[in-house]
Amino acid sequence: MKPLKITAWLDAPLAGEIPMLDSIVEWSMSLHLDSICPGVKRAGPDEPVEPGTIPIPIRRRRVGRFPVPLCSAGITPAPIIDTHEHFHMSMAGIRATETCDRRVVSVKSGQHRSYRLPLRVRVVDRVCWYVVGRAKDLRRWLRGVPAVGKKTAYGYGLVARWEVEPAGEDWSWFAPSPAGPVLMRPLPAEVDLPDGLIGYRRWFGSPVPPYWQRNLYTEIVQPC
Amino acid sequence: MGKRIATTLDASDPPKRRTYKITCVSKTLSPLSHMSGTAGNEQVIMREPICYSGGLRYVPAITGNAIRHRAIRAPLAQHIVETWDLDGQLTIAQLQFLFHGGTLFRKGGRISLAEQDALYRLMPAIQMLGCSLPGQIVPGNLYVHRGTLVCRENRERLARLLPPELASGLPEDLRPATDFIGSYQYTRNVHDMSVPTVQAKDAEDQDARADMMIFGGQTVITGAMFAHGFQLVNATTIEVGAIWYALNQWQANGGTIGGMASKGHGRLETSLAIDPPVDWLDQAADEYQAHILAVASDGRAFLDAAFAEPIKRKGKKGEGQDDEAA
Repeated sequence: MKPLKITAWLDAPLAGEIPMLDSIVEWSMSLHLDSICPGVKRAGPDEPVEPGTIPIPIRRRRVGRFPVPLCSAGITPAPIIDTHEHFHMSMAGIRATETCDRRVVSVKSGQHRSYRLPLRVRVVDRVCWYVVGRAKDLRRWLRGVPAVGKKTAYGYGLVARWEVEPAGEDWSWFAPSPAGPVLMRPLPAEVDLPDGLIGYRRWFGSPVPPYWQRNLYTEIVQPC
Repeated sequence: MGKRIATTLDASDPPKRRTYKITCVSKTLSPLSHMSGTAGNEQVIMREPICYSGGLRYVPAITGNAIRHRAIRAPLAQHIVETWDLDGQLTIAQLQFLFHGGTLFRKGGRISLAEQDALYRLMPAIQMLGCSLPGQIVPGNLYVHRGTLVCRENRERLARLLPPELASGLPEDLRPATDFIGSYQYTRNVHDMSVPTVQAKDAEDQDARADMMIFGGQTVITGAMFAHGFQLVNATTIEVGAIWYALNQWQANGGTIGGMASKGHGRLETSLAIDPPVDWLDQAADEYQAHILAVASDGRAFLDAAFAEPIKRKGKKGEGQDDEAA
């Protein structure tokens, strides 16, 4: 496994937060889990996923109980514009002939409530990640990822192409800068942080994918 | 007779899955009024910010959400309603599920793989779009691209979005996006409600109460072209058949996007290319329709079971709160 720089060149604005590459690769591989690792049983409903189960082609280093991938958080150039758009749903077009239910439908509250929700949208041309991994396998699994970010089914975050290239050094956790080393991804707070580290804050969250899984929440340091 | 394609949804013989990319080019046959809001009294068309020669431009676009609903979900839902003879039989929740994707409204973090499997077997197209059953969210595998205006500012993006044979055919002198923005203006009769009807004694009085209100806004002019597309990830041929059927139905019924379709706005003429190229699209669409017909009774039973109201049992006095049983 070698230090790599992975770039997703985008053809559409990026919605929501910048995603973590390790979780994208895990998702891409999970679609083929039965053929990749036949012995692994899928987690059942309400059953927490054991981190590190999916053998992603990114090196992991154990910190306490967490196998933390050597993969930085996503980096984008300064957005051309950082704004918000809306997506909405309304049952206003409903036709009475199709339903036997002739009651009055409330679209102000309840399950049929109309919505018009804001969505953070950034216009950037690319997202980059620094990883230590196998280029060939990463290319293979990323080929099946058509978009990144939120609301990809609506066309946001459309990836024009994935680019995997060698990087001179491993900048997956920390990267050098004139002001001192910069934190590049969320890490458990118990990790040995380099002297003079900048660009981080203490937080409470998951340091490994799946990042939404509450039983993985712990004291972490994350880039800011 | 073409070769038979494998569209079986039988779990014992899983169909081969692969990713299909469908690229479309749509030409507006009438003014397109796909709006994003108002500025003063004028309706403003949907625009997206794009990076052009290092700067920022706002270029007219069609949202993926609008294309998804009008071109894919609505025709497929309508087909299910007609094939399963559900007209006038659906509850509001079932109707919302088919035409709008449904809402998660039951308590509990329950995931029923059996229910997901049944949904896929009975309504592969609804599963493909992603939806929400009352108790669980079902992810889809259809990615819809936004409608990208064929204009000077989008040239670089178009070269990436369109297949090489179409991209190479783009003229050198593409027009700027502002050239494609037009406007409309209509009037409507507004009654002056300040004068009570009982006081209007004759026709002249009635005329005096009438007021013609002008309303207008922006459009994308007739003849503009949009590139858009669909990406079906890990899809079976029956899902491709569903897409092809939906697009044909959408086009046959006017192929409209955006508002004021009843006034003739938003008609699109669409042509497409599929990657990898296949020659069984019509056959796949026929098999999709045959499949929906074959599972009609099971499908109706599934909808009734999935959206059955929980039975409320009333407890005896003094036994605390009523409880629910599924």
